[in-house]
Amino acid sequence: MDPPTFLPKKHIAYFQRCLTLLPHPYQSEESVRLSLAFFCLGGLDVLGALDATLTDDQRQGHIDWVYAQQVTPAITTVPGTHGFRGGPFDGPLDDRVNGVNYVTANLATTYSALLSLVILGDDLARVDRKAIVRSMTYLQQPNGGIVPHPYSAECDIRFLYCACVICHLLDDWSGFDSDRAVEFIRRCQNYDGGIATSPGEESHGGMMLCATASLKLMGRLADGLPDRVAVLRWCIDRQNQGFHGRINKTDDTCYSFWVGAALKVLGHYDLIDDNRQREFLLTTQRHIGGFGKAPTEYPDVLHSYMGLVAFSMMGESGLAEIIPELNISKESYQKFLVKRCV
Amino acid sequence: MQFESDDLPLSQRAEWKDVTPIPQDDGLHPIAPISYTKEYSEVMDYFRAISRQKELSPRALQLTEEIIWINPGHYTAWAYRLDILKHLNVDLRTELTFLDEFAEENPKTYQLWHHRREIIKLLDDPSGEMAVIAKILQEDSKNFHAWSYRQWILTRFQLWEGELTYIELMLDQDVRNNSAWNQRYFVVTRGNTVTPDSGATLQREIDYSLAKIRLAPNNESPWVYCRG
Ligand SMILES: [Zn+2]
Repeated sequence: MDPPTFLPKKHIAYFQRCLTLLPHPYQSEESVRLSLAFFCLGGLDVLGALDATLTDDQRQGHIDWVYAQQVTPAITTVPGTHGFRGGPFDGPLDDRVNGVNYVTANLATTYSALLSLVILGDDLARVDRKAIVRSMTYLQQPNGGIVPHPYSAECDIRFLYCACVICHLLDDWSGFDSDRAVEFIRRCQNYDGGIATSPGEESHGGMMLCATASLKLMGRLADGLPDRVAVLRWCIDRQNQGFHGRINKTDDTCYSFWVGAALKVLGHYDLIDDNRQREFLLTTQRHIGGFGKAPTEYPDVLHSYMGLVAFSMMGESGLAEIIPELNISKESYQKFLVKRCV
Repeated sequence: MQFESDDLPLSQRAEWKDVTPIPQDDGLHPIAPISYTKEYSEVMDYFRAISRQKELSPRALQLTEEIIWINPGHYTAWAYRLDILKHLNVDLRTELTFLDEFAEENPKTYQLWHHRREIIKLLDDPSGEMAVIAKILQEDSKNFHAWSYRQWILTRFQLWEGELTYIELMLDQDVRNNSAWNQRYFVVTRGNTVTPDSGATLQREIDYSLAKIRLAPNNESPWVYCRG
């Protein structure tokens, strides 16, 4: 048998299928469907296959679909609810008869919506920036952490990262207290050098990217985490063959993205053993396209996107380069900057 | 809260007769549409009809339960459920029993554990919680949702007594369980049973981790613990 190789054509087909229809197990994630959409669009973007996938009409149609998820003050005046909801699952937004109780955007899907719009070539002109910025002032907590929407008490570093990307893309930080956010990130750093979801919890690979990317976007990477050596050591120790997310756990495709992208942000991706990581990722790559989290697992859009980006970060030819702290291709982002200036 | 007919489709249940379900409008160019099961589409059609009116009723409570069994991460359904529970003055012990059952099947749901915090805050009584968490950790000793919830209970109700013993038990079962090592650090630095800065505590913790390192020298957990 030939040694396995990277299969970009299969991945294009995989993301195209998912963009068109996701099988029913994904209904358990439909509250964050915009994030699933982002993984498909982002995957095709990194593969350079978006133009071949969508006609201009479809592209515009998808942009309109994302905007149809925007929750504005005209729809509900509940503080903290503005931005993009996860999908149309909670019903029509113009329902004057029944009202719109419990309709809310959330920071994770607002993040996914903005990135998806940029990938689709939109200039974000129809985004209600003011409303989103004002929402953030309600969602950020006194300790600097931030909850994703007003009905949630999940105050942690995942949503802090989403908030930073949103502020960056909207070019407006006025609703977000960076000093307190940095304080929160520092309190998430553990004795082992790693970063926890919230203070006191166990260090976790996903949170390392959230922390480093947030600091980078806030312009606080230099002074945000005092013990840089401990941070790097923690990251590098996460590589076994592929990467794992917590000490003494097994390798999982997605941590090649989370920890790898954190090392990119920190400017030390060269410390990774590319060959070993590549070997591992080729075992989680599936013949039908996509990546599973481990060698025997079915593919899913999250692990497929993250496995693919890992190959991009290793410099695989034919793949677009990504900006690790924003999680979007350089090309899409630069096109957006040009549009924003005009 | 059980209705006699809850194995029937909602459209055939007497108590739902007066509600007009609202189907999802996914527009002309949906991205990543989901091929829903019939059961899920139906409960969501009814959810769309009553949640936006904020109907706080027993049937709505039952509906949220049916939704979260299929979609445990449905944060709107969880938020709605909490409001209904408060409004109906339901016995929250019943809710805890439901959550126990739910946690068995879906132990890694963020919403579940946050909902449980809200219920415990309302009851203001953590008795029984440590046993529930221990049961979940027996199934998966590295479930970080359960550990995080455990830290919340310890801190809020100051239940530090006995925690080090529990951790030692966990580490005896698996000396590579980093979640337990992290919990040890949490208890030693934040709990009220030890004085973290005293030389005696430091010496004891160093001795403890060195002993564990001797058991398995390539185990990263005690090394970083010792360094920390
Ligand atoms: Zn994973």
